[in-house]
Amino acid sequence: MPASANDKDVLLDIGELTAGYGAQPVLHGISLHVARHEFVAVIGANTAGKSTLLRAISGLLPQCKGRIAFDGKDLTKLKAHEIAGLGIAHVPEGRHVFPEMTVEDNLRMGAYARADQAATQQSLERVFELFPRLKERRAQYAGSMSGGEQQMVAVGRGMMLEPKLLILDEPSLGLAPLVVEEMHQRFLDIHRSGVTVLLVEQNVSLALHSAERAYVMSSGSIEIEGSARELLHDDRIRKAYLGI
Amino acid sequence: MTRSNTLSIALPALVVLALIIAPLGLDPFGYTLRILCLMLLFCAMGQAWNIVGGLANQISLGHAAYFGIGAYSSTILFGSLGVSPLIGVFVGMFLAAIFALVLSLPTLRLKGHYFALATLAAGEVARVVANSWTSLTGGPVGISVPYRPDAGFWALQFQTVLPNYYLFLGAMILVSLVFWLVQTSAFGYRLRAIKENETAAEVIGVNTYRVKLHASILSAVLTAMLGTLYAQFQFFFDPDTIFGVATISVKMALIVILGGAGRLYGPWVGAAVIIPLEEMANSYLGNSIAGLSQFAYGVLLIVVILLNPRGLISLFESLRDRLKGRQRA
Repeated sequence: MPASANDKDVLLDIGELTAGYGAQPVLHGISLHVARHEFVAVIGANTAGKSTLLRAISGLLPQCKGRIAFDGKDLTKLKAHEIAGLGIAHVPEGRHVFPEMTVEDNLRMGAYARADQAATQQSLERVFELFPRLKERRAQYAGSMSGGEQQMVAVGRGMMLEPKLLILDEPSLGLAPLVVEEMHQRFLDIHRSGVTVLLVEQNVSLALHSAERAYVMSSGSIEIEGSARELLHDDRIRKAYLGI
Repeated sequence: MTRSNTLSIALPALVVLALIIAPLGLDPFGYTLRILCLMLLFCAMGQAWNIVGGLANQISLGHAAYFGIGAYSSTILFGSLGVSPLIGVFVGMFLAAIFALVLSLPTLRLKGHYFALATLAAGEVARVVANSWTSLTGGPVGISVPYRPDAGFWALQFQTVLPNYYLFLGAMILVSLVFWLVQTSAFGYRLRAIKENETAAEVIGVNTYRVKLHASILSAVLTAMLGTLYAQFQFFFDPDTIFGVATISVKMALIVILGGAGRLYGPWVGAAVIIPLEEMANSYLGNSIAGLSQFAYGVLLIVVILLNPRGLISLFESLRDRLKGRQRA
């Protein structure tokens, strides 16, 4: 397995990562990699450390030990805004939109860290194509929208960065089943357009149907790793997460 | 141009026009004119605070530190070295920028109440230093600006209150203009992003620390400038008034929050309500029971925050919207 992490087309490479919020680490030596153009899911119960892992990648945790390399660059010393500048769009858990800005302003803010501001308009059109609803609601305040629409804004804002890697943290949390389904279709569209996706999801069945490969986290460590298809038929996972 | 745009330009223009004409009928040495002066000055101070407190929601309760640095810098330079306050004001602004920079290193990573408390403490430190450093500041007895009205504009002193009034009006317009430029720029959007969701601002690539730092320094520099103007207006001040928590720091925040935080005309409304009200409370209640005026003041604030946390200006806006709706119907 470590051999694959040395492959040329590894986009995100995490090795022996230990991180947390204070003296007590939440992550205990995590190793994980995402290849370019891959769709990888991280699944696991609440408190397994999934969000902490994502926060460590995008520089929102003050201390982490170990290796986080993105496109060959070390991320552990960089700040969140610098990491965004490298092309990692993190859609945080809980739909962090700018509530008192319009949908369009929210999206435009997403292009903030980009070097080529001139192409912003094209990205905006693409996001509107992906989520036509946002085009209809472009002048509405993001805070006055439904949960699903706010999640579209958050994902659309991430896409405005034209990211190499899109990180999605629990995007289906608290959304209606129909909206969740629709959302995952869009994630597949995004992946098909050439963006690498790292998804953290409590809805294990959905995650394994969307992703190509998945890691199962438990108590801050990686328990199982494999292709999504394999994991769907893995007895341990069927018992623990799918309830079959 | 839409109707609401015309209104939002025409109304402030009318207010400014009224402010230009207003003092002409008043006694140039009079009490009313002095109140108007203070109203304009505090409006400008509120506007300076609004850049960081309103746009980015960094509730600073230590802005008196910058105000006092401005006042002491120009006064000490003028009193001991004869340097014109027109030059001293820039020294004060520079020192305030340094102070803001140093203060920001530990405080800008703090959020909410922690930031407010840390800045409150910093303002108090400035007051204690000014009280103890007697050789420089004159200590608790205070400091006077040497009276030299013959030196004219060079000394920034005037025979009547009227030139001061127009000076303050100019300062108020200047600071409001700076606020407006910040608010409508990309920098303003970054500040708003921080206010509305700091984590989201971080992950889309906003260097939140640097944005807050720049806003703090700009706000500090403008506040220091107003400190110099205040010193030249009052001719005397001491550490407890110039670095006062209630008299300066909290009042700056109050004016903005009462009027409408993060809004261009918020401090205009806030100052127009608070300063006259405070004067009235002082003159009617001040002699009867000590502290009653402060009490009335506090009650008013609580009532406004409970009824309308977005400030008085939003009351005006909802009224305007209702009128517009009726016209359309």
